[in-house]
Amino acid sequence: MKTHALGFGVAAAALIALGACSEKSAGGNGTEQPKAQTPKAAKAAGTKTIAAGLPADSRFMASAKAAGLDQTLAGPGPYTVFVPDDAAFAKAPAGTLDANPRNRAQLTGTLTNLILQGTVMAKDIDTLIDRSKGKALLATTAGGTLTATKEGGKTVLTDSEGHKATITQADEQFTNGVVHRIDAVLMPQPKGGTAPAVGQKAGG
Amino acid sequence: MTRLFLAAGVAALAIAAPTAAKPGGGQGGPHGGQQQAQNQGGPRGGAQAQRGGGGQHVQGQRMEHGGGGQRMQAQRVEHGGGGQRMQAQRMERGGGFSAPQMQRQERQAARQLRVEHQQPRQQQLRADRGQQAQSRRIERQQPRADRMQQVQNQRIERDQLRSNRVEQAQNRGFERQQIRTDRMDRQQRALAREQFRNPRFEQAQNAITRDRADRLRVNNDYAARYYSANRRGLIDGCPPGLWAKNNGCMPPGQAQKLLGAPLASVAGYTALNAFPTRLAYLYPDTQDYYYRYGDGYLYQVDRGTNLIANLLPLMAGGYLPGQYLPQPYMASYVPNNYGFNSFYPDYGNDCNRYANGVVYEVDCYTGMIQDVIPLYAGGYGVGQVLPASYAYYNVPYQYRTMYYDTPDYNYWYAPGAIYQYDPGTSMITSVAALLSPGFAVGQALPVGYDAYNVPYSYRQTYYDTPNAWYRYNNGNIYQVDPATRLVTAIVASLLT
Repeated sequence: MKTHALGFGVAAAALIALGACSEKSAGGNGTEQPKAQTPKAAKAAGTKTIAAGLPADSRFMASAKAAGLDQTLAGPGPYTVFVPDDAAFAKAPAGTLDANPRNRAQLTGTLTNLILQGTVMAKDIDTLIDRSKGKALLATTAGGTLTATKEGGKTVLTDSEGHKATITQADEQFTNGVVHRIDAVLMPQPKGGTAPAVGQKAGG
Repeated sequence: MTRLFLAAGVAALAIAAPTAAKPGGGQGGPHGGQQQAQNQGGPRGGAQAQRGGGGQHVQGQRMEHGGGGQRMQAQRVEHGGGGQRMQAQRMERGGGFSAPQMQRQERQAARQLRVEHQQPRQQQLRADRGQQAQSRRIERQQPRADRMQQVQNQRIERDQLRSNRVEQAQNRGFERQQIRTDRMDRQQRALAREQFRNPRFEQAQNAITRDRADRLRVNNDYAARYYSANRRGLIDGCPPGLWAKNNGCMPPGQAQKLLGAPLASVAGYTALNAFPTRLAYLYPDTQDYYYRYGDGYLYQVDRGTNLIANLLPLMAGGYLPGQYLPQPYMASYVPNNYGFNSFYPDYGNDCNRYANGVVYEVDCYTGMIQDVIPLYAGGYGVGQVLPASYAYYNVPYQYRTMYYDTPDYNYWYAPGAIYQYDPGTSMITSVAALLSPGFAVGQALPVGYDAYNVPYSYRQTYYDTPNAWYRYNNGNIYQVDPATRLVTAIVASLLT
């Protein structure tokens, strides 16, 4: 009996410690999230990851969690992320950004369209716009591209459907990438549509 | 005096003859009826005959003949009566002779009287005999008519039986046809299964390889793991052992029929599981719904009614190698906006088709699925399930020191991402890393990588100059020639 009690005590302590650990690495989401990274990956990610730095209760992080991308943004990366603010999420068509399991595919497509490989700073985008005579193409991890232009001194991103978003706050640096805040959600699919459907032809 | 007696005798005769010819009262039954016919003759006889004959036509006709016979007898009686009258008249003429003549005449008269009496009696007897003959005839006719009725009834019964038998034979014929088509269906299914197990098919699988690092290598790994470990468990082309207690996977057409059905109807043939606590966050139960999974599908169940509100295929859209891709999907193309259409062109007998986020490599002509390449966010993503046969370690080399299998987490690569999945349930729990189509040294810099994207800690070392650009992709830093835009070298790796 004594051994059992001791065992329970140790286990309880361990759980508490684990809870504290996962809170740190998972942006304060509690113990229900599993620890995603191997020790080497966690080390490469650094102590201040994008996932840790963004508020857990923001619409973006809630969507990322539903799509499983919160773990990605806690990994080594590095990633460049365009993060729409909560007001921008509210402006999106109803239901398209709901964080429920059936919507997961569309959600993932939308979010990966806001993530670039590597670390792209605001001035790197500007340099490219100048070099490309006003229009710069940025490849996203969704497999598509965003077009960056300069309008009135501000950098404007346009997606393949023509939706525009302006960078409101740039160059928020983390150990595994950089975050630029934008004022609209860029959606790679047409309004009301889902992920590519049956019968959709190449280029459609 | 003699004349007086003669006159009296004649008068008596005159009175007696018609009286004798009249019907005798008190004789009942058919005989009485017939005697009436005697007197009246003609049409009356026919009417009587009909009354005596009942409703049967055959007998009625005979009766009419009998009535006719009666008529003739009646006429004879009349004639007889007439004859008697003539005799009576002769006796009247004979009056005025001597007494012996009178005695003779008296004796003649008496004889006449006797004859008169006898004649009706004879006629009566004759009539009786006629009656009897007729009634016997009637009796004979009755059974004959009965027999004919019986024969008719039997004929009707026989026809009925015959038509019943024909109907039964037809039904049996239909049943036999049904059994035959069922057998053919079963044979076809068995053939499909056999085809899948066929060593030639195995070889074809081995031959399917990809050139680029992004593509899956479905070859010896797949065949070896699948056929050696799971051969016996193949059911309709579905890899077994996906769930601990699962029996196989259900085609989406069948699955759609479950919408709105009570959860109990599914529980009857497949084990339904709740999610382990560590995975419950992927499909969190709500106030309105709870989730169960089994047989390759996720079921969203309404709490109040326990009816299935939604179905989600957890395995590559529900179609797996060995199954036939449904005809409507055979006209689809791999989409462009995931950037994969150029990676999966049609070549030879292999066509790439797309449905629900999954690229299916199928035989162009039969539609048999040979390989399944789920695309990230469409096919494979968090919450989806890896078929057991796909759960082999295939992480690209540069990532292997970073993402290696542990007892708690396994890693698996598919175009677009490195996935982390739970070994026990094969459920994808997160995306460990997002990947893009890779650079290849000697190839052109892909579109969209014109922006400088080297990570912070490497910017001091690798920065753009007019002679060389540096770009980051999939864990490596590449050197690019600005003039030709060709990738010339890998200069650094972030992952080692």
